[in-house]
Formats: sequence, structure tokens, C-alpha cells
Amino acid sequence: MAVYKRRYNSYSGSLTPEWSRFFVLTRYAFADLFKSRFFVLLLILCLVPTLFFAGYIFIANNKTVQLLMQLRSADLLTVETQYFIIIMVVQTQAAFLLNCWVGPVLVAGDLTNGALPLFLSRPFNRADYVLGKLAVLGLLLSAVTWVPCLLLFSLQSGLAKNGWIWPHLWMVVPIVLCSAIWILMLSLISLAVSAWVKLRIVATGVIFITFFIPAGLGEMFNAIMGTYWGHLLNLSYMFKIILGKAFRERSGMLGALDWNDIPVAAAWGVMIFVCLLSLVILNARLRARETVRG
Amino acid sequence: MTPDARQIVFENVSKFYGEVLGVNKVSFSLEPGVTSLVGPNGSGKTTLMNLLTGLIKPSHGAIYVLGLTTHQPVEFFRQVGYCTQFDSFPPGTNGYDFIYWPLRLHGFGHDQAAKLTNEALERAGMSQVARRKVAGYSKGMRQRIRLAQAIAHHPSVLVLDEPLNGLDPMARAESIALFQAIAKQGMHVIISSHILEEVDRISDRVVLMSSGYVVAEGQIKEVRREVRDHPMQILVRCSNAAKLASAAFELDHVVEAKILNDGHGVLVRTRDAEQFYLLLNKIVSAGLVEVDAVAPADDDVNSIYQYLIGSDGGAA
Repeated sequence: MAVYKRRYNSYSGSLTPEWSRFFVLTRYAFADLFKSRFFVLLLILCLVPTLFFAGYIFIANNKTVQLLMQLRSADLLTVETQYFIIIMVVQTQAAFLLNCWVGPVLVAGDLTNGALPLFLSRPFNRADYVLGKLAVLGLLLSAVTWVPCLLLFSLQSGLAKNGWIWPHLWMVVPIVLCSAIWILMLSLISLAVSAWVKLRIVATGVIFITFFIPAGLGEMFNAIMGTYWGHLLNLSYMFKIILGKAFRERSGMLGALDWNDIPVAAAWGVMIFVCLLSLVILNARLRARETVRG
Repeated sequence: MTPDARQIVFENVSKFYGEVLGVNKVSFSLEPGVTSLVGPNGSGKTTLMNLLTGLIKPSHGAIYVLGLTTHQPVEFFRQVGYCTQFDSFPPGTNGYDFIYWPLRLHGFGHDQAAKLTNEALERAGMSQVARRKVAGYSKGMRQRIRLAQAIAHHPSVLVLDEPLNGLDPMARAESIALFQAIAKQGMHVIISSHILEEVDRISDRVVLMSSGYVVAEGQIKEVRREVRDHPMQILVRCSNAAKLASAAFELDHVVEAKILNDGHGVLVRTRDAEQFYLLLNKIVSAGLVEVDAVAPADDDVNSIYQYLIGSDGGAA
């Protein structure tokens, strides 16, 4: 038996708070993402509509510019609920595109390279891992949905004056709430797909399929059965129902929504079901162990 | 039983993957030093390592690492460093980031993580290539960078799955020296390896596994003594081999005494090595033979592996 002199001492200094460690993965993923020029370009493109919306708000609130451009106030859409619904619809679609590019690589790369044991042999569990990856999409998609929306809301409040903000302040809640459910659903779907499909191009395709094929099948079901319950398979439609109800408005941008259509509770139910299903898939796919061979 | 704060303890641990057996009823305790897990493919070595590092939970039983369980994750994972068998590199990462980011997961601040990263790179001899992409590393460099990340946070238990695979002889010697240096500081170093000659050189004790069961565990010589079905082989280099052989044959427990081809030695197989050594003492004292060297010929891991597991360890 060897004689061991215990000269070894572990680190005993200060540590960062446990709750914040999932951000390590987020920071690492962001550092990686911003190395891609295409990603930066896509992010900028997703924010371009916001510039147009901001310009429009500026024109709508500036009589001098309207005169210079020979526009009549009657020709302009007033910056009210309808306008913010348009902004929400456009920006959530931009978020969808951004999600299709970013989401598929977040988990697949780690699974392909067997990196999960590397992360999980730390004081870091699978929930932290998912949270870290979810935060990547959460922050990115927030940057193109509710953040610009609230900035535009602030811009309108500042330019309109006359206490415009007070009767419209309630819109802050649907802007944030609807963006949040959309972001959560998109993020979880793409993480689940990323955990299942390793090739980016295929994963992106699967995300598109998740949104468009069931929607098509739902329409077929509606046509054949003479009902509207097939819309339950259309996730974008469900989101628009929630959006319309939250903004208390039926907008042309929301399509042919009918208040007697799918109940908003059912729309919420579908959204929550999809989120839970994605979590189940992530739970099944994200395993700490390596392939057991020896 | 109160777990010892210096030991790694497995208490009746079983792990099943559905109906597939990973390991079954494993119980042992390990002292600091180098311990090797030896066994053929599919014997449960990696499962045992995954259990030890908290990556999987046992179906039955309990595991204590220095008195800690995975229910105390911060303290537990602080003590354990794991070098995986397979590549586990996040895509696009470079050597520095591969060590730095996991340190941040441990909760080290930027300055401390950077300091520990540089220290680990230095110890593994990877400082010069730290900023290169891991994807461009050779197999040996990948092994070393994995080793660097395993030791970077100063763990007390280092678990290394096949750490010598792919290393050239020089890198292998350096790695072995590093393991031994770490063990001499009072750390646990748990290694799984198929290279039995090296296991023999570096290990204080072995855990032999087969089909999910621990077949034998302990110091190599102790394990060899326990394998009574296979008589011990003792090689004696001496002047009068025939005399020694005939004297040996008079002992009941000697089953074979074979004179070497050059006539200057005898290979004895005996069921009681202690008795044979006593006989040898008497013969030498009487001046009947002059002994140049006496050495056990089969108290190494390779022989134990062959006796207990039944195949050629070197080929496994």
C-alpha cells in the first residue's frame, strides 16, 4: 500500500450564484452565433420592419412631414390597436424565421458531439441545460418581438402626447403576454426538433412542417367535415386567436377570425399542449450518459 | 454505514437500462490512489464511471464519493473531474474555451476560470495550441485537452475513461506520470483501460468486471493470491535448476516445475507460494543451489484477467 501525503487542496474561493449558471451556456451560444455573418444579417433584416413602423409613427404624428409628403391624415392608418396588431403579426413572423435558423443547431450540435456528459458532470442539470438554451432563443426572439413593439409604443406615446399613453397602456400586457407565449412555443418546438434531428437543413424543414402540414390537414378536415375545429392543428391560427382576443380587436391582419370560432381557451390549450409535448421530447432525448460500450 | 470522507463507496449498486443489465450488486470502497477498471467490452466499466460521476442514477443501492452523494450536486461535482471516453466537444469550440466555459458552469468567476484554464493547459502541455479549434486536433491532443478539462477545477476524484487511447508513447508516458503525480497528492484517480501492461504499471488496485459484475477487486497481488484455481507461477533463476526442480516436486502443492531451455532456471507452479519460498530458503541456506533471481511470473493484471475473465486481456 502506497503512503499518500495529502498535500492537495481544492479551490475554496468565491463562486458565482447557482441560479445564474445557465447563462454560461447562453453566453457561449451567443458568442458562437455572432460569429456567423448570415445570422447577423438575418437579425438585422428582422429588425428592418421596426424601422419602417417607427418611420410611419413619426409621419403619422408630424403634420409638417405629412404636408411635405402631400399626405392627408385621413389616408393614414391611425396608430391605435390595429396598428400594434400589425406590428405584432409582422414581428412574430420575423421571429419565426429567426427561430428556424438559430433553433436547429442549439441542441443538435451538443448531441452529435456527445457534449452532454461534459455539461452534466458539473453542478448543472438537464433543466439548467434546457433553460440555458431556451434563454438563447428567448432573448433573441424578444429582441425582435415585444422589445421593438414596446419601443414603438413608447415612441408613439412620446410623439402623440395629449395623454395618449393612458388609455392605451393596457396594450403593454397583450404585447408582452402574446409575444411570450409565441416565443416559448417556438423555442420549445425548435429545441425539441434540434434534439431529434441532427442536420440543420432537415431540422429547419421539420419546423416548417410542424407549422404548415398540420395546418393544411386541419383545413382539409374542416372542408370535409364542415367544421372549424380543424383550426386546432394550425398553430399560427391559434396564436392569432389569442392575439385578437388579447387586443380585443378583429384585424384584417389576423385573417378571417370569427369570435364564434375556436374558443380562446382551446387556443391556449393547444399552445400549452405543444409546449408540454416539446418538453417530453426534450426529456426523452437529453440523457446524460454516453453510449455504454465497455 | 457512515461513508468515509476519504473513500469512494459503492453499496450494493445495480443499474438496469430497461431489461438490460448495466452493473449488478456492486459493492466496494476505494482509497485514494490509482484504481483501474478492467474488463472486456460491455462489462459495465463505463456504466460504473457514469454512476460514479453522477451522470446516471443507480436503479438500486447508494454511491458515496468522499462522503457526498449527487443530492449535494454543488459539493459533489466540485470533487469529481470526468474525462469521457468519446469526443464531447461542443461544436466549433477551441481548446481554451473547452476548458474555460465548463469552469464557468462550476461557478468560477472570469479571472479565476481564466487562471485555472491556463494552469490546466500548462499541465497537459496544450498551452501552445489552446486557441486552435478542437476539430483540428490530433487524437492525442484531444485526449490531452479532455484530461486538462477534467483536472482544471481541482477535483479530488479524477475519473478517466480510456485516457491512454490514441496517445503516442511519449504522451502516454507523460500522462501516466501525471496520473501518478496526482494520485501521490492524495487524489483518487479512477482509470478504465484495455492496455493491461500499463494498468499494471500505474495501478495501486484494480476492479475487474465482467458482464456487469465485479469479478475481483483489490491490490493486484492480493487478488492474485485469492485466485486459488490457478497455481502461482514463480520463476527462479539459479545455478542448479535440476536440483531445485526435484526438491520442488517433493512438495504436494507444487503442480509443475519446468526447467528453462537455457538450463539456468526453473518455472514452478504452486498452490502455496509461501511454502515454496520457505523451501527455497532452506535449499539456498544449505548451499545446494545459488539463486540469481526469484520473481512471480503471473501476478500481473494480464494474468488475473485471463484467469478470471477467460480471454486474452491484451486483445480485449
